[in-house]
Amino acid sequence: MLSSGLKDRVLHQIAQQPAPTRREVHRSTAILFGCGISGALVIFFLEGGVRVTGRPALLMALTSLGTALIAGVAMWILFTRGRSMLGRPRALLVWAPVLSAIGFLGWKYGISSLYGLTEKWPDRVGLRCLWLSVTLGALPLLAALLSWRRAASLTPVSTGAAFGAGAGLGSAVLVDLWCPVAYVPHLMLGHVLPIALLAALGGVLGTSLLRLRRP
Amino acid sequence: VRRGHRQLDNSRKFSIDGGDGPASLTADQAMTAYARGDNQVFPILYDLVAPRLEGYLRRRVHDQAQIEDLVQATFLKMHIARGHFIPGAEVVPWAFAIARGLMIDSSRKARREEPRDLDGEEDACAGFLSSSSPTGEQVVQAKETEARLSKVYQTVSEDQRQVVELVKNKGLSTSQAASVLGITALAVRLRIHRFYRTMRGALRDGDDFPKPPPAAKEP
Repeated sequence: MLSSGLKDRVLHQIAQQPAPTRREVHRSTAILFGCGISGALVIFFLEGGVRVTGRPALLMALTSLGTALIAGVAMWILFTRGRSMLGRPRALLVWAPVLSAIGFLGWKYGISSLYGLTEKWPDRVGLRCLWLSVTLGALPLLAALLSWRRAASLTPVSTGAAFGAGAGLGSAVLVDLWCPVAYVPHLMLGHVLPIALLAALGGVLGTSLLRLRRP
Repeated sequence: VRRGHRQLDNSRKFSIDGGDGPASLTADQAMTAYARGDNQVFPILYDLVAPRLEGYLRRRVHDQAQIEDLVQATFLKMHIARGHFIPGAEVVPWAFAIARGLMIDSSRKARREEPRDLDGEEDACAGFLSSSSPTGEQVVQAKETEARLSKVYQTVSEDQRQVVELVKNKGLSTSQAASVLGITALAVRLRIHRFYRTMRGALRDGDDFPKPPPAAKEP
């Protein structure tokens, strides 16, 4: 049986510590994500923005729409919790980015092969794409982690990793508009590896930023 | 031994005026209102959730002061995170999961194992006993069975006891228990299956208490 004074202590403690309501959390989340996405877009356009580089307009439209659709579905799974406060099943958080990355790679390569644009580009190994993808994804990842730092996350590592993978998929859509190369090793290094790197970064940051600690 | 899954009882209501009218709230509704900023419902939320939280913690923590400390910390976390609460979501499994996370954090900090509450385990075991009879012989038999099962209950692994307690005593679904414990729903079902196998073995074999089944790899 809990002591009678505990309720008073709890009420006193929460009165001392104001907590944001749902509306306030929505507002701060929107501001944080807005800043993160805006920052990523600024970097993207400073790096040259959308670059056609000899690609047919239809090819660009098809690859971009396909990758945006794949990334959008995965990001919805990875950034939201569904209807349970316990979060999505861990298996879903693992398989969503893996299958999305495979779908992403297959779509880009498949569509580009129809146009015969899958040959090797000797001067583009993929390191610039790697750097740009990680940079673009890091800002929304940071925004997601900061918006969740008071959310009493029950699975900080997998939540952080899911955010990282989601941010990586989002940045992959932008980088796809920037990079014309559809050579598979390049895509693996410059477009898919950043998703894994951001997921790992999210897991590490999630451990420190989201971990449930006793007050 | 009672079998089957029981739905989580979230229909327990609380009314400010003591009645069961439109003002009465379930724990989920109270948390939803609190997340919207209705601070008046927090005492109601406390009254609905605290006893269940205490029951959950009592199985694991020996010290009453520590239980109260964890209850207080759990409510504080729920308060701080209220803006992230999903309207209509179930609050009790969330509260259990927070309490469990805080317990783990405490044990990490303390770097020592928490003492097991044997009395609580015996109570929990008694919850699984369904034998009750008006005749003296049956009462004696039931007590013998209870004693036998109590002994066997203490031989099963802590993992199995945790799962059985969440699903059978607290009424969580397998998926909810899986989320609370950070394992898969299949692992929960496996642990329950192994628990029942051990208990059935104890009933079948009389005084020869079976050893717990070897731990197989879980998914």
